[in-house]
Amino acid sequence: MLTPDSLFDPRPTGATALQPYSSFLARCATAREAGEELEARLALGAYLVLRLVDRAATLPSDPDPGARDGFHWQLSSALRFIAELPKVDCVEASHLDGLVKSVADLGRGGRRPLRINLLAYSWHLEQAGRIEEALDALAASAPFYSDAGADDRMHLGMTAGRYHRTLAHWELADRGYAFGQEAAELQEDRRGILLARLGRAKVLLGKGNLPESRRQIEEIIAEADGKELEDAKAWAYTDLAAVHEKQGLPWDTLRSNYRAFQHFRDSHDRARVLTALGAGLRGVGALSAARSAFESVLRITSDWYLIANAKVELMGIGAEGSDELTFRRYWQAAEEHASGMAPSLAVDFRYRVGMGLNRFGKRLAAQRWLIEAQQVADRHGLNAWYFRLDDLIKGMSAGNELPAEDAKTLTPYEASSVGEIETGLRQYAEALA
Amino acid sequence: MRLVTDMGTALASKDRHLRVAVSSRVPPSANRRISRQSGPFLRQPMLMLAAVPPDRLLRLRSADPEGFTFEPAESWAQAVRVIRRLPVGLAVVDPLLEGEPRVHEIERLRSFFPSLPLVAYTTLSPEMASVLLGLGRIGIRRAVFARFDDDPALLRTVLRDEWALTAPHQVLAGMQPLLGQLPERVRWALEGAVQAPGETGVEDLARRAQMGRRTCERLFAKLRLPSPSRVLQVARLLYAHRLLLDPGFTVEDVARKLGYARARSLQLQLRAAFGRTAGEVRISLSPEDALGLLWRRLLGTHERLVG
Repeated sequence: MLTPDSLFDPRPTGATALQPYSSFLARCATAREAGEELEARLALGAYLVLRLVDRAATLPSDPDPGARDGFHWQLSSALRFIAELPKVDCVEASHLDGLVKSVADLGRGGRRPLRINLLAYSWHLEQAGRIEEALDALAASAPFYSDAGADDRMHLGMTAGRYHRTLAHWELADRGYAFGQEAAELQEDRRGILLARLGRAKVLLGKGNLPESRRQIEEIIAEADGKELEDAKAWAYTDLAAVHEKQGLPWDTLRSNYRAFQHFRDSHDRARVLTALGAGLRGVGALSAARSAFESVLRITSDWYLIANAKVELMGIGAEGSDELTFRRYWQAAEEHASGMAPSLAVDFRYRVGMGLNRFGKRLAAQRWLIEAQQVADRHGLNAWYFRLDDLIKGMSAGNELPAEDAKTLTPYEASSVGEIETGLRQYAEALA
Repeated sequence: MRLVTDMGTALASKDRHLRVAVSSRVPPSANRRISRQSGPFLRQPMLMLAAVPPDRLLRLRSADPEGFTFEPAESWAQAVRVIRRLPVGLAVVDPLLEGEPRVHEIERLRSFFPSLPLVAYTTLSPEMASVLLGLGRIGIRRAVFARFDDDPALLRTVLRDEWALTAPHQVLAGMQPLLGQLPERVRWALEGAVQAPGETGVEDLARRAQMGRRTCERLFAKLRLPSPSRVLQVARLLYAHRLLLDPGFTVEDVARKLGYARARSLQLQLRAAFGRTAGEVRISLSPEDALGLLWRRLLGTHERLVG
């Protein structure tokens, strides 16, 4: 029988394991080396708070007569440390403050506030791309689920499954989703059941079993009927698109992503799938449809990353379509995001500026931008980018022309396939205007 | 004599000896009936190395004065001398012992004495994060942090938990199929006698278990076990073998730790038991092989005697 603890056991531990939560020590050490004092203190604070949570979990069964006094002493130390962190404009500090207070209130407020706070904190860490830490924070909550209802247990299982899947811990991922599915079945939550099954299908995808993954996803799509299951169907289509992509089927990928777009209702989810759709359309040469997709992203989301990415893509589309006005307009727009771009986007941005400048006859400036892109790639260990840029730069230095990213000519079949998508996206964009 | 029927009553008891015995021995998850036999049972204190600054040594000593004793070391060189000379089962270490953080000194202890569990007891600050990660990489599992979680209760818990990894405890755990029926006080007495210098006879074991010699012998006979002195001899040989696997110990070190007047006496016993020299035992016999070898010899002889 699956239990909350079994979702995290055995933890695949790396060579840096000291105790649980060494992921936070790693962040602390890295931040300190980079001179980021606040980041280091936040990571250390998280480490302290999670150790405190562990102790709170074992306190009821600890026979040592001094255990309770010791716990309160440790709680006071943690409260003091967290009190010294800035709370204004610091989301993580606020999370830690809430956590340590919910540990202090365990006797009065029960276990649920602590469970919820730990789950919320893990989601925050996931948003920041710190999946190991997110998993650690979630694992700390496991002992507090003995009195949890089915809904809470479902969220625990699904979240654990997602984190493990992201980290390629396949068996644990499947276990998490199975736990979530059991909880969903207990409360006859059809949406929860479908999403849990979808998670398990994605685990199969991750393990490379494409045919079985595809079969299960298509089954879920067929079962997801009714308005209340639309987003489940949409998620299933995005996952089907991922399967098609792995199978090397770009047109099937496009169609699945478009179906997902049609079924999503949430703006953020739509923006994400439009981003995937736009990249796919650009990849097959459907520049006009790709432009519609990315322009819609700019209208419907406030997500910083999706907006920055859309502007970079639109800049590239402008260059590929020999539309210098569009190229320069979106270059200027993307420039505003340059300082905050993640390394891969930062390289991509500089690359596209360079390729665009080259297309419009500014060869020397193009080379400077490509060199800068390579420097960013080198700094962040993006080796594939580094070597690709190296070839281009060396070619330019030798007087060669850069390979042109010309707009592709679609076959009639391909054109009709993209026609439906293009029409749908244009109508959507017009409705937004 | 009142029968103590639950742990809560035992811990609340005005009998200090009983409180100490219960609080220091019973695992957190247990909830057993505890009865007093002939007099209160006082487990012998466990000896540990404390390579930590004075303020931390003070906290360690006050955590459980009757459960643990600490041999201090003010330098890493002194720590090595203590380990080689005394029957310490576990070491509490602070990478800041000599001022600057020194992970490689602790790494040296680990590589020289892999059978010795190490617990880190140090400060927690951003500066120490990379040091702690380094300790994790060399296999340190537990850390306690000054002024955050080094209260007496947690110190007691950590040290008792880690004691389960000590070589004497592991040797006895390996003999569990044979010795599982023995009362816990006798198993504790065996664990203490295994590593104590010169304790080789049934009198030593009986004294530790706080029972008479004849009572001890009758108990083993009743359970159809080999004699107490035979069991103790086997356990000590297995412990000696375990120490010899640590590259930091010479045969002379091991002989001295176990109370042999001369290293040659130990060498002769090892050859008689394992059929090999001390050097050969060190490089060619795993703990499992050693246990199997002595098991067959011990049980083979015993089964022939009892029929």
